[in-house]
Amino acid sequence: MAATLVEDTIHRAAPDNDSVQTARGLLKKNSFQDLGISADQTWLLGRCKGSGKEPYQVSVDLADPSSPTCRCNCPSRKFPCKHGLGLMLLYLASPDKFKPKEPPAELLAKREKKVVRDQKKAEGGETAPRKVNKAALTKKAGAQRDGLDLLEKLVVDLVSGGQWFEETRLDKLERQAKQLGDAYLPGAMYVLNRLILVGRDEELSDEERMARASDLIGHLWATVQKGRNYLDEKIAGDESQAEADAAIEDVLGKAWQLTELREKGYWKSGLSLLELAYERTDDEARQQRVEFSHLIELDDGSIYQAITYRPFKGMKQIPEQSSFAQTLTVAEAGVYPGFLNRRIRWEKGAEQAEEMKAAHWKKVYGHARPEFKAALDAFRQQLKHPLAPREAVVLLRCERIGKAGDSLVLEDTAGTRIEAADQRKDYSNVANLLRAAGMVGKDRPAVLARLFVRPVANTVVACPLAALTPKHHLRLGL
Amino acid sequence: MPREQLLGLANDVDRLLAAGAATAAGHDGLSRRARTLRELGQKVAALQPVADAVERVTASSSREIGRAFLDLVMMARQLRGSLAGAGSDGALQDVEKSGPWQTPTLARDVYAAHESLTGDASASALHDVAERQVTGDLRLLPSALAALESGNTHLADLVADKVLPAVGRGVLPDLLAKLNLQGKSADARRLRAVCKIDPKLGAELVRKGLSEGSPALKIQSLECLPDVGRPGEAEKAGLELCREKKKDVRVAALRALRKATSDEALEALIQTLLESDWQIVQPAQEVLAELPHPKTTERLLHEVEERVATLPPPIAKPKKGAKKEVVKTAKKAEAARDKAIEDLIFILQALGGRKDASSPRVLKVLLTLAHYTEENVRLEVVGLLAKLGPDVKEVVPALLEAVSDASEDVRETAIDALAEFPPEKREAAIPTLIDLAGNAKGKENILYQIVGMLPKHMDRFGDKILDLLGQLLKAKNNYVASEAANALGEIGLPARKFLPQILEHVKMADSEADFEPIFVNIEPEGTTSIPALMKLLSERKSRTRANALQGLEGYGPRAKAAESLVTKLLKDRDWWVKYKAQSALAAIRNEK
Repeated sequence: MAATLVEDTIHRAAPDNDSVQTARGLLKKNSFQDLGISADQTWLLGRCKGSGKEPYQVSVDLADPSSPTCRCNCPSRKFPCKHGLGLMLLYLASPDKFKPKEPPAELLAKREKKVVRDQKKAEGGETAPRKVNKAALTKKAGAQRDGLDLLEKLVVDLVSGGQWFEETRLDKLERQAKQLGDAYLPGAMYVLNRLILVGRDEELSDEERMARASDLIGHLWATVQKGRNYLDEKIAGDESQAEADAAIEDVLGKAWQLTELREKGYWKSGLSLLELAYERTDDEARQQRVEFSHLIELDDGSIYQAITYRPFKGMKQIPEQSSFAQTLTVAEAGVYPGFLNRRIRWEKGAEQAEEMKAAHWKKVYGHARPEFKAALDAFRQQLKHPLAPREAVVLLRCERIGKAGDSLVLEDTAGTRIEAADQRKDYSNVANLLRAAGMVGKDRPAVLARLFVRPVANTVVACPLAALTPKHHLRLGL
Repeated sequence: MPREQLLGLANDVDRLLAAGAATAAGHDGLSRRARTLRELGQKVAALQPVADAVERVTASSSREIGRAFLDLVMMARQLRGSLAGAGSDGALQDVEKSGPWQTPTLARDVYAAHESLTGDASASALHDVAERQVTGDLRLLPSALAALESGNTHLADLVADKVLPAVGRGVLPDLLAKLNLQGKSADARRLRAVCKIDPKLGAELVRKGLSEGSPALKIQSLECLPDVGRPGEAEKAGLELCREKKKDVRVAALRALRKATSDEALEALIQTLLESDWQIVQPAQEVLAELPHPKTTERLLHEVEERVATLPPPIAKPKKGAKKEVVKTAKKAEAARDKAIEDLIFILQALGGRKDASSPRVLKVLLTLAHYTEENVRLEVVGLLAKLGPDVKEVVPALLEAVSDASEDVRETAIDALAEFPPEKREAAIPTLIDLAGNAKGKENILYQIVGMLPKHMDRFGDKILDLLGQLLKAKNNYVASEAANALGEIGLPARKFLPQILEHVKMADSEADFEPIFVNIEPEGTTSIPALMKLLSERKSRTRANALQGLEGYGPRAKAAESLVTKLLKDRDWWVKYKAQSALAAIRNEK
C-alpha cells in the first residue's frame, strides 16, 4: 500500500515549505535510525536524532496513503513535524533502508481510535445542527449597517470634492478604512485599501489611475447600496436564502464555515478535480498572501478555486494552500456562492488522490471552449453584476496562438481573438506562453486563462495560467 | 453610435471624478451627452435609464450631487464591462518553434527555487532542488535567466552550471539572444550554459570567444574548450595563451591544459611551478595533479631529484662587522637558496596531488625526503604522507618517526595527522605517543592532541594511559589538567580511582574541563560524587560552584537530592552560577 505514497502527498501534508526543507536537511544529516516498515506496508517506523537527549520516536500510518498520519514525540507544534515528513521522504528516496518491523501495540491502538473517531465524525455530519446566536448576529448586522453608513459618507465626500488622490486625503482614507474593518466589513476595507494604493501608485498614468479608481469607487457604491438593502432585511429577520444575497455577504467579507456552506446548500458531492494551475500573490490591499489552486471538475468542466488567505502578520501559523499533482476525488466539498469561478473548500484529508491518467487529460481538453465568444459573453455578463469579481478563469481551446505586432494573441476556430496580457509586473506569464506555444501551438492547445479588462482601452485580455493538450500540461505562472 | 456615446460617457465620468462631482451639476458636456442619449434612447430603449441617470446628475442640487454622481459611476462601470471589446488587429504570425518544455516540479519546490533565484531567500533551497534535478521547469526560466546577471556570483554560477542545463535545449534561443562576446561575467555564464546544453554549438562560440571575445569571454572559452572542443584544440589554445600578460587569462590557459598529452604542455606546466606567484603556481599544480600525460609523475620525480641534488648548501651568516659586499653576497645567496627550496616544495606539492603518489617510486622519494636536512621540506613531505592516509603501510611508521622530529612544526603535523586516523590504524604509535606525552612539559599543543587520542586505546594500553592521565591531572597547568579530566571522563568506569582528584580539580578556578559528562560517566550511580558536588556548592569561589553545578547537571533526575541547594543558587550573586543553576535544575527536573 505504501507504494502509492508520492512526494505530492508529503507536500500536501506539510504545514509549510520550511518544514519540507528542514525535513530534507534531516535526510542529508543522516538523522534517522532504526528504520522499519510493517509487513502490510502501512506503517513506517523510525527514530530521529533531534535536539533532545534521546532520539524522537517517529511513525507514519499509511493506512490511507493519500492522507498519511504522522506521529512523533518531539515538542514541535507543527503538524506533521519535520521528523514525520522526513521519514516519508526517506522512504521515497531509499525504501531499501527500511527493514521489516511491526508497530507496537500502542500505535495500533491509536490507529483504531482514529478510525472510530473518523467514523463518528462522518456519521455526526448530519446530526447536531450548528447553534446560531441570533442576538449576536443581529448585533453584528447592526454594526455592519452602521459601517455602511460610514462608507456611504466617506465615498460621497470622496467624489464631491475631487482631487481624491492627494496625499492628505489618502492618509485620511487610510484611517477610515480601518474603521470599516472594525465594523465587520473587511471586504469593503480591502477595496478601499486598493483605491488608496491606486492613488499612490506613481507608475500609473493619470488616465489609468482614474479608470481604475472609477471601477473601485463604483464597487464601493454598489456595496453600500446592495449591502444596505440586504442588511436591513436581515435585521428585520427576513434573511433571504437567495444566492445573490449570499454573494453580498461574501463581498462584505464574510468568513464562511464549512457547516454554514452545507446548511445553505452550497455543497457538492463526488467531485473529481484536477489542478491546472497554482498561483501565489502578495496582496498589499488585503495585507495577505493569497494562494490559489485552479481546479477543473472532470465531469462538468467547472473551474473552481481553492484559496488560502494568509495574513502577512503570522503567515507561518497558517498552512499554505496545497497544490495537487494528482487527480483528486473529493467526497464532499463546500462551494461558495459566487459567479463564474466558485471558491471550493473541503476538510483537510477529505480528498483521495490517484495517479493522473491520459484519460483525465483527454477529458480536461474536451472541456475547453472551442469558441471564445461563449466565454467572453459569460464574462461580460458577470461584469454587469456590480459586485462580481472583475476577472474570471476560463479554459479556451485555441486554433492558433500567434504574434500580432508586439502582442501574443489567442485565436479560436471562428477567428475570434483575445490578446494575452500579464497582470504582474515582476513575472511574465505571457513570455512563458510564447515559449509554450513554440512547443504545443500547432496542436490546438487549450489555454487556462484569467480574463480581465484592461483599463482605459477597455478590452478583455487573458492572463495565461496553463497550456495543455491531451499529451502535455504546462503551467505558466507562479 | 450608442456604443461610442456610452464609452464617451464613461470617460466623462472618470474626468469628473478627478475634478469632483460638484463640477458635474450643470456641466455642459454632460448635459449634451444626456440629450444625445435621450434621442438615441428613442430607438434603443435601454439607453433611456442611462440618460435619466445623467440628467439626475446635471440637475442635482449641491447636496444631492454626490449620490447622484455615484449612481452614475456605478452605471458607467457596468456599461464599460458590457461594452468591453476583445481581440487585436493585424495578421497573425506563427510563433517560432521552441522547447521541449516541462513543468513537473511541485509548487513548493518551484517557489523555494524562485525565491532563491530572485534573492528573496538563500541559495540553499536552489541547491537542494538542483541536487534533486528538478530545476528544469519552465516557470523558473524567467527568474533563472535574470539570475545570470546577479551580483551573487555563487547563485549566478549555480544557475549557469545546473539550473539552465536542466531546462535543456529550449532555453538556447533565450541564451543566444542575449549573448554578447564582448560582454562581462553574465555573458561568460551564458556561454558556459550553452556549452553544457549543446557542446557542438558551444564549441563554435568558444572558438569565436577565443579570437574576438572580451577578456571575460576569452577566459570562459578557455575553461569550456577542453570539454567541448576537438581533441588537442584546448591544448593548443592553452599553450598559446599560457604566457599571456593578463593573469586571469593565463590561469584559464593553464587550466585549459588539463586534458593535455603533449610533452610541450607538460614542460610548460612544470616551468610554471618555478614561478613565485602563488596564484599562477596553484592552478599549474592542480592541472599537473590530474594531467593525463603518461610521463607526468616520472617527470615530476626527475625534477624533484634534480632540485635536491642541486640545492645550494646552507649559507653561513656573515660575521659581525663584515664588509657590506660580503653581507650583500650572503643575502643574495640565501634568497637564491630560499627560492630553490620553494621551487622544490611547489614541485613536491604537485607530485603529492597525483593519483599515483602512493606508488613505490614516489613513496621512496618522499620517505627519503622526510629525513632531509631542510625543515620546510620535511614539513611538506610529512604533510603529503599524512594525506596519503593510514592505508598506505609506510605512512604510520613514517609519521611515528616524525613525532620525534627536531622541528616542533613537523612533530605537530605528524601528531595532528595521527589524531585524524581511525584508532585501529594508529595503534602502533600509541606507546611512543604516551612516552612523548610524559616528557612533553611546555609543549601543550602536542599534549592536547595526544591526550585526546588516548581514551580510544584503553583496551590495549589501559594501565599506561591511566598512569599518564593521573600524572597529568596533577599538572599545575590548568589546561593540561582539564584535558586529562576530560579524557578520564571519556574513559568512564575504569577511571574511578581518580574520582577524588577530579573532585579536587573542580575547585580549580580556571578549569576548562566539561564536568557535565565526567562524573556521571565515571560513577553513574553518583554515590560519592553527588554528595561531594553538593558540598562544593557552598564553596566561596563562584567558579567552583559553577563547576559543581555542571557535574550535577550530568546526573539529571538522579541528583534529585541536590534540588533544593541548586534552587537556592538561582539567586546567586554570580550570573554564571545562576545560569548554570538554571540548566542543572532543568536537568534534575527532567525538563531539558
